Amino acid sequence: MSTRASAATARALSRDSGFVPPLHGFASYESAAAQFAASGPAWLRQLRAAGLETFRQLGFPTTRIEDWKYSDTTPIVRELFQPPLPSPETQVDLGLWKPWLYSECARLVFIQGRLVASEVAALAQPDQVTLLSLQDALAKEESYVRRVLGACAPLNERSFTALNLALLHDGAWVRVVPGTRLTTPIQLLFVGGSVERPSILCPRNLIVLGDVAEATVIECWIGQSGASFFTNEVTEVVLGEEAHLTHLRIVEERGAMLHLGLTTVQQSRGSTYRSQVVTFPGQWTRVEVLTRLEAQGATAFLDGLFVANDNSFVDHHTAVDHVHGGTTSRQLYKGVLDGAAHGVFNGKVFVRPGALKSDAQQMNKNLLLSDNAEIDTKPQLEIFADDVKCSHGATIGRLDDNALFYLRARGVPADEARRLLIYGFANEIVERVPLEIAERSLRAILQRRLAGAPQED
Amino acid sequence: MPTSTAKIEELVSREYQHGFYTPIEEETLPPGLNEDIVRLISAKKNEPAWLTEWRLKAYRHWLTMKEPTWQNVRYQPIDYNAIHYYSAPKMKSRPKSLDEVDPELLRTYEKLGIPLREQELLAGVAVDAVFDSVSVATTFKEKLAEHGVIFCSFSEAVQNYPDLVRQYLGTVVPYNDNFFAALNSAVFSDGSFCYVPKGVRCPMELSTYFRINAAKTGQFERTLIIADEGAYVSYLEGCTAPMRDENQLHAAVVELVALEGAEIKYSTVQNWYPGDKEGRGGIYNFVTKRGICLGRGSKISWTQIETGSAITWKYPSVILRGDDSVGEFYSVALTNHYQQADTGTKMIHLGRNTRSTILSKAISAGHGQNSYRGLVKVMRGAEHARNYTQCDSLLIGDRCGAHTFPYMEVRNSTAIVEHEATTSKISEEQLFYCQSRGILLEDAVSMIVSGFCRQVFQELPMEFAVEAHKLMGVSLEGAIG
Repeated sequence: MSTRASAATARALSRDSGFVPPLHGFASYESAAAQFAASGPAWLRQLRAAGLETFRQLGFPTTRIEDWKYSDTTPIVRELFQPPLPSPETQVDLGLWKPWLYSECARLVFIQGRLVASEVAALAQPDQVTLLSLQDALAKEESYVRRVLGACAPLNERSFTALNLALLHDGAWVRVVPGTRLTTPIQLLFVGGSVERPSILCPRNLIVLGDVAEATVIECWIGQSGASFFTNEVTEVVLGEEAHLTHLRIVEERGAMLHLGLTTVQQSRGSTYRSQVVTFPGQWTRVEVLTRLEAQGATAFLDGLFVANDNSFVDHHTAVDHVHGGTTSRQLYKGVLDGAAHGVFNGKVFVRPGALKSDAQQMNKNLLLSDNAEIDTKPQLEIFADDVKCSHGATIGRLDDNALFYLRARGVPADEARRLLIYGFANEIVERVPLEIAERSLRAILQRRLAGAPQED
Repeated sequence: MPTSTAKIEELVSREYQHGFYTPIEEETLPPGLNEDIVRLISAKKNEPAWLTEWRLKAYRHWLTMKEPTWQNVRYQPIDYNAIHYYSAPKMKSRPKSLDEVDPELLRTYEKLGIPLREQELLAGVAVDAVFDSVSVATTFKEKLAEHGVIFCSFSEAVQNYPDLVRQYLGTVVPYNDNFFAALNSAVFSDGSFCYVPKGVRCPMELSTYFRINAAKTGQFERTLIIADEGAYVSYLEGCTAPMRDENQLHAAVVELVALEGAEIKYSTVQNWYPGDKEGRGGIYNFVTKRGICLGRGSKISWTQIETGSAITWKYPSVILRGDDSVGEFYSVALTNHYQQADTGTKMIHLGRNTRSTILSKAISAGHGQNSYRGLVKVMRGAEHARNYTQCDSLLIGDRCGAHTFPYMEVRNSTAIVEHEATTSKISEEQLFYCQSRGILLEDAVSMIVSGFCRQVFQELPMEFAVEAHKLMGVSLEGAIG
């Protein structure tokens, strides 16, 4: 697109639309998209072009858009992002991230979006599962990929999803054949950051479970950076009938890491989606989990924990869409905010007309530990059917004075008593983590973060 | 429950009881809005120059504003130039006493069940009645004057107590607050004014009855209540309108000011014409209500029963500025047929040890859509602020909707904020239990709904609680099936 045309687009984004164009214009995004535009099959090139067009029409959302009321996108809007420079090294020493390499897992490791290691030897049933980078999957089973990509994360009005599509290059592909109960957990490790110029990365992961399949997938997003590093990732999950997915997502980032993670899930009859989101944010993090319960008996458990301090911003959005009756959802999100951190929770429950016997519960609890910290929470119900059971709750408070007194009266120093109580608060989520090694690693991070010690891996 | 369906259909078709029109001679300004109309309204009320200017400032600001669209209600665009901004029953001069009020008007109020005269004698409730745009009668003036309480129409207040009006008007809801508040500030025609002096406990309930009569008019009243240090006042408003096919706009502004140790209790029983069962006609009730607890230890309590209006859209709010001040919001909102409601409150905690309670009960039936939208904001300086919010929704029928949009923004770590919400339907078991004991279906529904709303009704002054119960019964009849 010519610069003149994009200037016109920028003008078209009137102040009132609630969207703004990038501060430095669309040119850098266009040239980034051009790098990938020629690769892949025709349908994918078309998708990318559509993504770029939508993004160019929309720009970035501002706080005037209800869904972004508390999420200021300025740290993203103002940067002149480019795709990260390819690393000159061909051999990567995985030892640097040893604590993150969970044993017993089959694993894909991506560094700055590039697949550097594929450890599939651990898979007990290698024929029942495809674990590939998206690029490789396109080469080996394109028809599957085509059916799934974009199916549950459509473009709509979501400019970040459109941007992800425009710059879509690689990601992870997990496909479990019907009837398989996968005994080996799958880990997807994404290492970002460590860049010298503002960089943007748009990975897309696709997880497909056939009917009656069962799997555990652990996504870990880690990294630290001096210059802004923006991860704009989308994960699409498609669950067949009676499929069970346990999906743990850990974000542990530091420094100028900006992270927008969107997970969209499509659930068929009798399927179960168990999501755990644990976030230790860098500068700016927003994690969204959206699930559609499309048939009878579909069940979703969404748990979340975020622990933030300093000046970090952390936002969790959930949306459970009870499209069909006889579906169940449970949500529990807990937040711990210290320093000058700003936390946001927005949980939505929709019950569509006719979705009778839907059962939805949602809870959000927040600990506010400092007067400079801020929490904005908005649990939301939109119910269009009468025979339903829906409830939600939210609390905001500080540590219980009585509990602190109890501990101190027994000789526990104030600092330690505080840590103990916060740890206990967070533990409700951590103890639900399915894999012991992941649970241990989370406990270690938690303790480190709470101790305020210099954070070394 | 097919057996009861027929009976229910019959009950549903029961019409709005206050839907009559009073053929009374009215003086109406031509439709449309411009600076001349604003000046004309101001001139008609013989207002001082500062107020005319204030109106014009509001009008000019309104022109720069856009009608909001974020609310969870749908309606056809309003043509602001088709509305009559002023309509008044013709009178030679202000009536000195009830005897001088047009008997046709008094009969209207009698039909509505508020015989002014009778109330004057028996009920002990002082009533200010607003008919279309102007206040027609205020009862019990002398008795109130003995205690130093000023209770009169807004126009009278502008004439007789201009300093008080000037001091407080627009301090809680500024003229540029929002689209409809700006419109109201430009064209408001009348309303009630109340001032309770220091240390006085107002000896009776004060009440205003609003009535829209003329066609194609908007009603824009403005209420200002000031409770001086240590004063107490309980105020109640009720509203009705005739049945018409077109929608009528009601955009009022209510401002409450509570000084140190003062308490204001404001109750509303809103029964504007809700439209017919196809969703035609009805009142658009777009109202800005806000109170400020200015002084230490002051308290403002809102209670609202919202059963009428095609669309109800309002958020009675409290700004808790004084230390130890208290804000309360109790609400029952009922939507039947095609009614829509987007209502709730805002509690803004500024002072230390400020407390707020929110209790919202929403009932949706037919195609009704009911939203609770509330904001609890704890600012940095509001040490030990406390909020408890509960909002429950009851759904009757599978075509209605209940929505909850609570916002909690907390910037102080000593704050404790709690919110809980539930959504459910009237259980078959409860209905069966009642019916098996010989209680008719509609009585059983009414009973269960009353129980659901009990906590809110308890907050209403006695005689209005009775009225509210009856209103709920009527509004809900036939909603089950």
